[in-house]
Amino acid sequence: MESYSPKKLRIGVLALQGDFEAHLKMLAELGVEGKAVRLPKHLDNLDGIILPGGESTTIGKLMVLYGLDEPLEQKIRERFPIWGTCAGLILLARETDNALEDQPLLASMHIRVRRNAFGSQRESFETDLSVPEIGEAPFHAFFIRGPAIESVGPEVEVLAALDDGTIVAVREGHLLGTAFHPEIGGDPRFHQYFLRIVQSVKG
Amino acid sequence: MREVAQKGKLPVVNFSAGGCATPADAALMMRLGAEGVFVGSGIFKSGDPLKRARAIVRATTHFEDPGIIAEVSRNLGEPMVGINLDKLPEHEQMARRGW
Repeated sequence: MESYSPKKLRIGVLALQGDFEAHLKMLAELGVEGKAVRLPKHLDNLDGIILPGGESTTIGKLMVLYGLDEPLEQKIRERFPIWGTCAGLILLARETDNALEDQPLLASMHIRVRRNAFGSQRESFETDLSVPEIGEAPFHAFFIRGPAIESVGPEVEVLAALDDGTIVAVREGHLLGTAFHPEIGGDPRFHQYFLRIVQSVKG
Repeated sequence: MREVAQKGKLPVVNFSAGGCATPADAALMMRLGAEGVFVGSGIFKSGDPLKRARAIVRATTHFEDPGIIAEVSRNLGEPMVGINLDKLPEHEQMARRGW
């Protein structure tokens, strides 16, 4: 049994660029109210927010253009639950090996990431991950020109790593980060895990 | 085929393209269910491509917000101009092509 009451939660998905539709669809399938976030006013009355995969520089620039960067930074300071997937993970990382100069980032989690760590588009891959936090069965993960987490601070919990040790899923309190795309493939367990974090913060 | 039948959707992004020239055109495509808008000539054959490209990006993101679409549509300079049929040389007319 799930410990959260999904119908009472409202989850925003940053919908400036990238794979936001698939996240909204997954939330709908879980019976949770999802809301596309495109302007600061869309952040009102949310319980958590997902930063989707896409292109981190583009999302970052649009975030600044529409005045969402400062409200999001404020939310992070208020311990608001935020989950970054792929590009969203890059936005959350405090350190990025190869961010572009002046690339707008939210720089919050104590992790160091490398953009496009696995290579270009044709090096994208799928693999089964062991993620004890979400259950025994492996999670089939899609890495689409994804980043890798190169190092983590002592406050960060590692949720999953590849066979070679590369860290690909982390949690730091109210912040969750995955280098892959859990919104495709139909396995809702990562979304359910995030909803549990949201529920625990909401109390 | 089974997957398409089940989901009512192709397993690829639905891009719309062809003839989009204004921010409102792009927003309309999104309203009609497109997942992305491809604009080429509409930008490059306009009077101020940079300004128009920015406006079309904004209108695509905020396609559900008429206020923003109206705001970004102001002072964009000349739009892409189509070619009237009577200005088209006879050999270029579709109706006369082929055999």
